[in-house]
Amino acid sequence: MNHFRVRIFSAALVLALMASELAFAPARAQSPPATTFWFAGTRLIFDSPVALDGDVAVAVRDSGLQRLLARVGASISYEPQQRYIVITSADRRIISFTVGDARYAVAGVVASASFAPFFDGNDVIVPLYAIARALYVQPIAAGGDTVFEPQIGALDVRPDGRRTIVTLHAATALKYVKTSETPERLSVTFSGVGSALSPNRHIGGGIDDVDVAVSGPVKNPASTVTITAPKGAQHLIAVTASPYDFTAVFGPPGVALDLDAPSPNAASGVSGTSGGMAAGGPAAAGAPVAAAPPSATPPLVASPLPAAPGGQPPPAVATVPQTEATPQSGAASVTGVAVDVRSDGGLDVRLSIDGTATYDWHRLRDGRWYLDVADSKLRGPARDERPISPAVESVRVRQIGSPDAPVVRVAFTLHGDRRVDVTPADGSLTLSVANADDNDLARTGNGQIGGATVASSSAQSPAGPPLAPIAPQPETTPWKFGPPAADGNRTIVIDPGHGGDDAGTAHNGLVEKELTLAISLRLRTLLTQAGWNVRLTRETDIDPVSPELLSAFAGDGRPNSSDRAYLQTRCDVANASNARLFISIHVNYADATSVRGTTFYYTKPQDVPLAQALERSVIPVAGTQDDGVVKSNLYVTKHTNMPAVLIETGFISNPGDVRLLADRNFLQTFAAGIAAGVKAYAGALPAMSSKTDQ
Amino acid sequence: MRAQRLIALIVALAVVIFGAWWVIKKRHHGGGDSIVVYYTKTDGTTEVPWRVTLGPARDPKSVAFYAAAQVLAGPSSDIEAIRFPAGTHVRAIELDGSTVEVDLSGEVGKSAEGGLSETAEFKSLVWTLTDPKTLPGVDAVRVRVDGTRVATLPGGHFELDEPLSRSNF
Ligand SMILES: [Zn+2]
Repeated sequence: MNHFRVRIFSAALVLALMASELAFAPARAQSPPATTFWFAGTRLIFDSPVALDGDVAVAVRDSGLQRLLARVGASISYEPQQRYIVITSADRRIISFTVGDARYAVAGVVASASFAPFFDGNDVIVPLYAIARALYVQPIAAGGDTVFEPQIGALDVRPDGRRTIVTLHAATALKYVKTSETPERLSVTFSGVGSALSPNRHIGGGIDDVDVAVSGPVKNPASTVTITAPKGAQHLIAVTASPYDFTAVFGPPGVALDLDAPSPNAASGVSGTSGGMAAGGPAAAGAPVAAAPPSATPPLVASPLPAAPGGQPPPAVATVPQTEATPQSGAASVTGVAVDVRSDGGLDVRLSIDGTATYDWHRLRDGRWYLDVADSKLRGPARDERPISPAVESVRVRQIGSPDAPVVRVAFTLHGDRRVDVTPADGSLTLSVANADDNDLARTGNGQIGGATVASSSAQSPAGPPLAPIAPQPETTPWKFGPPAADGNRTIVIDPGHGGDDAGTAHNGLVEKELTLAISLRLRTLLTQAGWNVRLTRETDIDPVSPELLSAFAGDGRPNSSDRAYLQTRCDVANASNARLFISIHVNYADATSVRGTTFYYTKPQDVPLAQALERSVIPVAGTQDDGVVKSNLYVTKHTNMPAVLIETGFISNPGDVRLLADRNFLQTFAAGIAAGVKAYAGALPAMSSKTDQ
Repeated sequence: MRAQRLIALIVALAVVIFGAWWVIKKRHHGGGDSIVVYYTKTDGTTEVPWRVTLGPARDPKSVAFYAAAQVLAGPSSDIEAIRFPAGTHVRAIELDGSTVEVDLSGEVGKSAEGGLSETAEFKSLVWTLTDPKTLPGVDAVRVRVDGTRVATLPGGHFELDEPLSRSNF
């Protein structure tokens, strides 16, 4: 052996060691297994199974393997260019294989397969039988066939206070028939499953022993499980979250056996069910089986919702151009302006006018409406008001035009397509905003005050306004008298979550989109009474979306553009109206029915004081569990420019919260809690009449 | 004998080289045979760490994949936790500097039923993949669903437009 050969040898040794570490492809003879595969009475066809070292090699993407995994509720994660294959069973056990290693782990316990997974082009080849066994499926040779027999693979006996919870985990959904039953002894036969459990085990504690007997042919086995508890015990069959599980609860007399609602007298001792039934599916998750007859459940039907006036909220409030003018001599003078909210929620503006004047009015498509009194001067201060009316957001009366042609303009920002009636009389002009929408809204009209009164309107092309042009102004141009300083800003946007096709979460007879609107409408009333100018992102059962955003996001290359547009539309209602606050109302859900309470979600630091104020005001009156002020990356709190909070009012999945949410009084109380929180946060609002701009 | 001494030397050399290679390979990943995976308690906010054993593969992409798959599976079924919907699995994973991009299967959309589940699930994913011992240098997680970038889950609340970091929670 010379030095050259030595070097070759040592390099080869290292390479061999490295290769054995990675072991990408075993060099063994492979041939398809001469057998037919069956699972639960149906034939299972694999794309390219290969018998290998006492197991069967299949590709991860093999359709037969995928079907088998689907039948047992398992999912597989694998991607080329990395080396793990992770399978999650229906009962959340993790089975992990590594390419190049025959060892694999099942819920942390290491076992060994007959061959290591290896790469095959873009796929990876795995040991089928090892996977099946880890999923409680036993491959059994029967004649020339191979039957994958689903089994009861695990038995959990868990003390829980004075009661004992017995849970069986199987490879497949468990269907059972009670074969015999006394309070302390339960015998249940599961059809279609075998068992890998030892036939008899003595348990001790709250359970004496568990017997397992398997019968029937391999292709259609049945397993009878008999659980015996000490004398005097009682039991209850619980509905489980997973259909692959069966749970029975045993305990001494007087101990509540119901796992979800531990009321002392809930257990009847013997389940009232008889005959075959599924052990429970996801829809029935967590509901107690024998705790209470159906008639004892509280009424869970959502309260009917009040009809909401108005349709879609008006889009962003753009600014109306204003040309400041020095009042000079004119044919007419506006000597007084009276703004009154009628009892029906509508609004009257009455102009007292000296002299004769003509006027024209125009309705813009974004909720603005204005009337110009030509050749007239405003005697007295300009007005800029946000009356407490569900019909009108703001009223402005001011001098515009030029010294040569002064004009008095009355401008409304309306909540939707509200009808406006203009009634001229000698010496006055009355503008009445109805608290109702009108389908056939005229877009322009004109008339005369004093002299011969002629009022007309036209739904067709607007007559060109005689004076200041009314082109919608770019948003960069602020109102001349526009948005008040933060402390005087009285605009708040309430966002009733979901709506239209997006129902939100729906369980127990309740639907999120209805509850959020019901609370929001009540909240609007309360806040309006408190002097706020309230805007809702929706007032009816719609999912508001701006067509501009839809097309903008569709073209921005970002997928899922529609969802972005929908939530951004809601944010834009607040952003464009320069709202001071934004509150989004939602209803929560959790798989675990025990989860309950109210959560105040925020994203931006500036949201926190509002969230805390709401928490302090809502929790004491609502009586829900305080789940706290929680930071999250929620869309609407992230993309609003002002303090914003998303309130998850309660859990539609928790029996106690459901009782509350189904109660109209609770919705009112909850809204009152929010309104109180807003007041605590923003302080008492300045009285409306004292609010004037100059 | 000269030949025997040589063979002994060669074997010793090979052992040293292999040992060095093995140590370097291991150190690449912060060492450990296990990684920390987090789940979120049913309060929706509390992260609970648990340890899972790594297989022999320690390259960053394999470890990221393994960690993500473990989060989706969650802790054993007797532990109360906010869980990703059954069937949610990792479709693909990419490492791009300090960001790991995880492509989740569409089943994750079932968790769009409220702020709690979405917040809790993505929090556990982000905490797990940004654990400095698991993937050194990674501090952000970008989520895709069924291969596409999304603003939120359909009908969801949680914004998935931007990479997520621990500071988002
Ligand atoms: Zn919601």
